[in-house]
Amino acid sequence: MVFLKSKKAYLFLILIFIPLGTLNSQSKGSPPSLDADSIIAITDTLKTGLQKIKILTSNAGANRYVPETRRLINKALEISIREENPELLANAYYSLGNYYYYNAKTDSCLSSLNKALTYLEEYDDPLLNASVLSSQGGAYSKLGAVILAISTNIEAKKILDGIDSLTLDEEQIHKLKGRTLVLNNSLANLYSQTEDYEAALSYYEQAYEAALILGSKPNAAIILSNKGDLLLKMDRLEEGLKVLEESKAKKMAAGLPSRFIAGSDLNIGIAHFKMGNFELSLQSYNSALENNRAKGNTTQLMQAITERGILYNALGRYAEAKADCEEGKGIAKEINNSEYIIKSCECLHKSYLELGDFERSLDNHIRYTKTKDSVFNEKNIRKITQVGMQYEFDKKEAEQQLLLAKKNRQKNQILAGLITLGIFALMLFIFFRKRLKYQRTIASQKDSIQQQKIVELQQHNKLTAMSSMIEGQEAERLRIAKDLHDSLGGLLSTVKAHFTSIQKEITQLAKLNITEKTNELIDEACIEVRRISHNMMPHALSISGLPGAVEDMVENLKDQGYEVTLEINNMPEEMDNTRKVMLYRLLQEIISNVRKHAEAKSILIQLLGYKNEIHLIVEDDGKGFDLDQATGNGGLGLKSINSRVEFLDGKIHWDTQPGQGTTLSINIPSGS
Amino acid sequence: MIRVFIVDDHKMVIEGLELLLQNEAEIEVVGTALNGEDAIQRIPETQADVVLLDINMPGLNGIDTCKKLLKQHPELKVIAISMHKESSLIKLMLSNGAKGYVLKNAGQEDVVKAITKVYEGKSYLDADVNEIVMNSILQQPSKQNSNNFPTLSRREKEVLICILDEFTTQEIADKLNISFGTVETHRRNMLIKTGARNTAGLVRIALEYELHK
Repeated sequence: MVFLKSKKAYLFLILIFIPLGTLNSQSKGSPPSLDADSIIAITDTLKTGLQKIKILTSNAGANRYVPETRRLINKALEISIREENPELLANAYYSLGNYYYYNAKTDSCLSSLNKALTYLEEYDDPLLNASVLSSQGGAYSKLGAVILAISTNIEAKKILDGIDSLTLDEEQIHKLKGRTLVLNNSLANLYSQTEDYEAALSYYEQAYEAALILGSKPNAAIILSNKGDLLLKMDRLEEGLKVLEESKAKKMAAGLPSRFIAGSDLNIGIAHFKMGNFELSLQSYNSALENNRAKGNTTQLMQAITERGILYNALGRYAEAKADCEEGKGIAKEINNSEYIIKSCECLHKSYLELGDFERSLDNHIRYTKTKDSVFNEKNIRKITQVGMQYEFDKKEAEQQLLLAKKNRQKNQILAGLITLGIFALMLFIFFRKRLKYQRTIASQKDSIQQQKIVELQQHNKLTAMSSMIEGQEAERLRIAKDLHDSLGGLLSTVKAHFTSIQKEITQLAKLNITEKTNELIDEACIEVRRISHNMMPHALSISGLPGAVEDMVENLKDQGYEVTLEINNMPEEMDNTRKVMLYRLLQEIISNVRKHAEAKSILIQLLGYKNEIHLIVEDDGKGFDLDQATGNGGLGLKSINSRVEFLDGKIHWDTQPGQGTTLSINIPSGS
Repeated sequence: MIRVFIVDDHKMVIEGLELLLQNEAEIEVVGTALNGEDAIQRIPETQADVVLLDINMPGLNGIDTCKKLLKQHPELKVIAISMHKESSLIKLMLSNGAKGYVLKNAGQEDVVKAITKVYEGKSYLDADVNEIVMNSILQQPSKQNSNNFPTLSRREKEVLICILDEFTTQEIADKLNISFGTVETHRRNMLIKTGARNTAGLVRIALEYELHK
């Protein structure tokens, strides 16, 4: 099952991203080569700046892949800067941003689009505004910042939905509909990436409707095909198959190039495979293969041949499976496609095992594991960056809002202040002396409470975003831990058993010390899998509860030479599982911080249940630190601990100074 | 002939164990099950002597399965086979009546040895597992202190001494260079630990039990 799941994921990452833009240019036929000189010459004869810019940018848009285009955009920039007109500037920078986007300079693209947005603040053009945001969403998506891409696209969509179409001319209405279609399709792709399949499905349906209204048959066929892929991903196989077949027919009717048809065949084959119709699956793969071989579509050829190999494997035709997957693996290595290296190696590992070629089987398994590991690492890094970006984004937004609120408040305050100043001055003078003493004593008290309230309010917004991120991370962790335990752990045990059983027959090899070494390697791998799986999701937590899991953690610490006092008192019997995991993870994070930075000898850990709260106290005798400075530096460990406490609706107090050790007191409502 | 029954939610692991045991003349695998419920139902009819039981299974986990099995058939010998070597799991398993504990990456000899030993009425722990159990027994003390209160942390003691010296909260905050709120948190935690209702109670209990020393 695990294999099947990952298979699905890889497949869709590849197929779902058939950008509609590519299709547009194709269906119109290849653009004529660009004659920049004559276009610039025509421009010079026009009167208004707006006309000039329109000619330049629309030509630039139609020839986005041609380097010459840059000259048109430069001319447009030159004119708009000279006229200092925000409308012209916004259009020119939007065009430049798009040029960068299609020429793979995503950072430059984002900075140009940001400039366009700044000029749009001075000049109101909702359609252009939505277009810029939509391109920005595309760029974020390219950078892998999926959440940002979604929020940007949604913003764009809001603007489009808010446009009153009565005020537009026909060309603008057409543009509006086209934009809506593209936005819906990219939102669907993005939601599919975040595994929010229901949302993705609804956006595909909206996009499909929009395509029908626009009468764009090629777009409609592609969107339908994407929807079919998604349904497969959602395990709605029969429905998915039906949609895929319908989209294939539509693609043929729309006269799309043969690679699109072959893509449909490949997916139909996969659907049949999953439904157990191996015969039909084989037919579809074969027709996809034939087509791709004839046209030399390397990527799809690799996909089809590998999938067929996997099918042969399932049919028990191991020799054919081996041949297909070797070919697939060859191509995958050539074009450096990790998904298919993983798939083909996994298939080859099984085929060779069945064919009795243990050495090759092992080789392929090693390659499979290595590639999967590196892909996993990459994904992880991307995820961490994403959380970081989201955080910065939220922070900026909060700051901006605060600034705005401050400005407004100041205006009102000045007005009201002037009127009441006279009265207050009088009153204040009388009360001042009496209250001075009293104020001093409660000022600090009040301050700290108010400060806390303000901080709480500010962070509320950030929290909602963060908490969903953390929850997502937990789910992801659980899945990976399960994968590790289910697939790799079991597999290793079996390899070990197989290996032991053949060990006797290869005593000659044993003399070369190879078997022993391999045995050691397998043991090492077992330990490693256990360690990773445990770190991801401690199994003891679900079986022996939080106290048991914490005791295990402490024993581990003692083994590392720490002097640890652990006291668990009066903990609630029943606790929500998520809270349990989160609390454990929090403690894990704190301990890892102590181990990394504190240079402590002894650690005190107390978990005390009291009324409806859980009190967690962790104290070490390490070197301590300057809290303000560490917070200012944005220490990742601190931030992570604080946000975990916030997520649990708890309160945290850091008590530390350089050379003084650290005492951490945390209060968390026990929930339920 | 020792009759062995294998329970594991992964078919691959069962197959591996069967392979490992098939050459042993005096051991026979009489049945396998993929989950705890199934195992409890099927083990009686196989008349198994020894059960190899996985801990981490969906549904009924190995620990509960072991308990239920032995309640109905106290003569059965259960050996836990697991990927995990957390001492809390080992202890739970042993206290529920398992006679052996073997890690999944153990070699053929270990598994066979475990089965024969347990069958003879002895118990068997993997060398690694044995060490873990020993360590955790040796580490047990050091946890209890003379009174029944949870230990006061170093910082709490410092705050307590200041309270005994009649410092106000603000003065304590200034002296220890921490915020007002943090002093309050320490004080509140001490109330919770001692069960005192207010600072006066805390002072009384602190003096009585010499908590500040």
